[in-house]
Amino acid sequence: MRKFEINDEKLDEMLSNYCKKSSPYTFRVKEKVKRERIKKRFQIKYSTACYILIFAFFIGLCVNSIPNFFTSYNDFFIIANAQGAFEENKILTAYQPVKVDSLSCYDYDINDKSVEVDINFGVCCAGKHISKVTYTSNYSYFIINYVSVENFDISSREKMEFNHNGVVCNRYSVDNDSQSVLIDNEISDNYPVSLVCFLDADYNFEAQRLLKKYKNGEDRFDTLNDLYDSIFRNVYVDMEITFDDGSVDNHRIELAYDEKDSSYKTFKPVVTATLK
Amino acid sequence: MNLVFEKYISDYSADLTRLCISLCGNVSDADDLFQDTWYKAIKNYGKYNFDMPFDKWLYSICVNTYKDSLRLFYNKRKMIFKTEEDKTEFLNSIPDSCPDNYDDYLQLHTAVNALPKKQKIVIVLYYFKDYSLNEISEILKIPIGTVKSRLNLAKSTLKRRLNNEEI
Repeated sequence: MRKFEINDEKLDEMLSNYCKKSSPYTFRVKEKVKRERIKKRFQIKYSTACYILIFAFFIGLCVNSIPNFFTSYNDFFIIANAQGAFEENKILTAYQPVKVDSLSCYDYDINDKSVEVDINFGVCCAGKHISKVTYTSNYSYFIINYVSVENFDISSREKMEFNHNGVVCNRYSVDNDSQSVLIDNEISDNYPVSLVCFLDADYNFEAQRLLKKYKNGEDRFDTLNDLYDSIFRNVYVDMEITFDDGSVDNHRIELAYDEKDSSYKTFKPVVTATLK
Repeated sequence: MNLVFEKYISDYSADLTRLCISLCGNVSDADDLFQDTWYKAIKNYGKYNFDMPFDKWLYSICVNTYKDSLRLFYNKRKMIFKTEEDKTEFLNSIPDSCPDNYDDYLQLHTAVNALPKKQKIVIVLYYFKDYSLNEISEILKIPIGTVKSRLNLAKSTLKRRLNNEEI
């Protein structure tokens, strides 16, 4: 029985050793795998013909069943939608000196009976030092995963607070990796960037719950649009950012449909940052 | 098969073997994943974008194959050492391991293999080659925030499992 507790440093060290272990085994690429390269040359015409046939069949199927396709909400549709519209859906909305960045929703995996919808967004504040960030959300499953600090001496910021729905959150970390993702070139050229926050909302729990209700025929949602609507629409986060000079900025970040095309087929949640 | 690919195979097979074993947790599944990864790499070499280092492209094929086929093939067999020799050989391959901490590493091994596949992939990539969060984000084609949250979640789960806390 171990006498000591595994802390973060020890876990890091153990994982590092574990994942860098030398393999006692040597795998060799099998000859039949290598032959694939040669085989491919002869297969190309055959496979091209197959693709054309499948494509033609699919087009014929679609033409005959477009009306039904969009009203029969089966698993296939959701997966297809997830792979297309939801994955890597990054929309940038600039608002200076605060910039909201990097929103993404993705990963519906119905076969696995899991739904993962993470919504990430960064808040980039340029030109001022932040002393406190307080935010509240009408969405109870909104959580902070990370807050990243850039070009920022964390040791002098002991009093900095991150406050979520009235509860002070101390889970923040210094992480320079996020620089390239979160800082817009235009902003970083024009302002000395003092702080980048990276908040991560986890909608997994709620999305799973709603999807389960939907799939079980509990008729709360008439269409998938309604389902997505209930997950994403009207969710907001209010942020109050206090700067070192005592000034305060208030921002509301909302999720909403792209009104230009409200069809779920091209469903695009967007972030808006507006002064209250 | 051309000479270029022969060189790739000789250069990257050892690392790919380690990655496959880390992901699958057992040798026979790892070998299947290894063969499938090379098969796909050879088959899709025409689509390879030379701007990306070959190893990252190869590892992205590997983790995607692992992730997509998990329900069908890999991970059906849980990590079982057939003999005590296998177990000792495995533990000795871990740097810094010694009989005093064998139990810790066995516990870690079990805990890593019990992680959800998405978290496990991030943990393995993060420590396997010391990839940055950005690089993992590129390999997995997911946002960096998600990489962070999965890494954070996986580490806290592992810590609690190793400390025998309730999850």
